[in-house]
Amino acid sequence: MDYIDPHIHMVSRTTDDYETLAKMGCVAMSEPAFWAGFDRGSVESFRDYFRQLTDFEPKRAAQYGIRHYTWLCINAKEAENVSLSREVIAMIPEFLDAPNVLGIGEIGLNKNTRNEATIFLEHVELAVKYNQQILIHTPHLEDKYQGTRMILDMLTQDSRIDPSRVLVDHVEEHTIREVLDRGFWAGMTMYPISKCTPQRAADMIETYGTERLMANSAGDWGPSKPTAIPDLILELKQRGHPRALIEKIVYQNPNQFFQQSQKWKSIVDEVNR
Amino acid sequence: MVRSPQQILQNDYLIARAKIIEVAAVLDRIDRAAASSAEAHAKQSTLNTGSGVPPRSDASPEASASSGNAVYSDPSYQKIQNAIAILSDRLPDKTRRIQELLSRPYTPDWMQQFQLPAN
Ligand SMILES: [Zn+2]
Repeated sequence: MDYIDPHIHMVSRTTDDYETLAKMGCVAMSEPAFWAGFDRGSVESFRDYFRQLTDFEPKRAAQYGIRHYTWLCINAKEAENVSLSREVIAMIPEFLDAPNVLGIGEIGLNKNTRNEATIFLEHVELAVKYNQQILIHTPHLEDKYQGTRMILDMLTQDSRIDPSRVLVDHVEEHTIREVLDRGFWAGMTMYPISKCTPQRAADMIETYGTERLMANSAGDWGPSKPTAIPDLILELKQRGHPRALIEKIVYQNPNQFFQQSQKWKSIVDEVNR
Repeated sequence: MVRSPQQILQNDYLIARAKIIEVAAVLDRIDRAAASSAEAHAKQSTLNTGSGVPPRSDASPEASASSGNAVYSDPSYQKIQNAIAILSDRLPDKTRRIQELLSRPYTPDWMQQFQLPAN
């Protein structure tokens, strides 16, 4: 079955992974900018990272017929360095016209600190100024509940933000309802251990329906499985869900959300030809 | 719902069984470590006092900490116990309720506390 992975960090994956994903039906993916596992030292380091995301990765993906898109930001973990964050935010517009850039992301909170909230709001300003879509990272584990609500507070108090152009990722059982109720798109991130599993993602689909809901693998440098979406497809099939429901979650919903960008439209049409 | 409750039970029984056993094993592991450090502590104080009477585990905070029993009042241990209570009550929405139990609380006036500019 053709599917789209809306949140996967391919810079951390091998070319063999691209091949495996292509064989499993992945036709397109979107890669938000994130933390490298260590704090980067300068704005030049981010400039190189953004070149990798906008130039090298789409070429690597294209070898396997996969369309690669990306989102740019400095992540919440590095937001404690406010001056570096501001330099990066000022540099991002250099890359916004690249053909695979869909918007600003993954921005959000990590430990729910004041500096993180400040830099989050400055990213939102950037997105508004350049009319960009937004992809949100919500914190993990015990910080997710509080952090998700703080992020929703900041977004909903800003009348310039259209929730239908914002994807809130890493939702779980205690955060999904509020995200959907407030009109945002929601993404469930499936990990092999410690966080949401394909089984629990299937439970949330059964509980909350398929509107504005999608699933992703994260596929980062930590314990994660780039093929988590095929695992979800299998789980839903085994539970007896119809093909139409599965396709809506793994293909049509991400397609509909990303289509709000002109850049996505042209490329998906090409895939479908 | 596509599957009947019986089908789900049949299908997921082994999964639930395995995960409950894993939780039990974690609790046993804690108990064993607590018991063996209590034993080591008792030996140590017998040597020190020569009285041959093992100290009560609740004799003093230090004694209880070094005897390993402090783990039972650790907030993380309490959270596990409270989560297990949710598992065995008869109310719905267990996953969300346990997630909330294991989360930091949300304070609605966080923006004022951070003195962030209001939009
Ligand atoms: Zn991510």
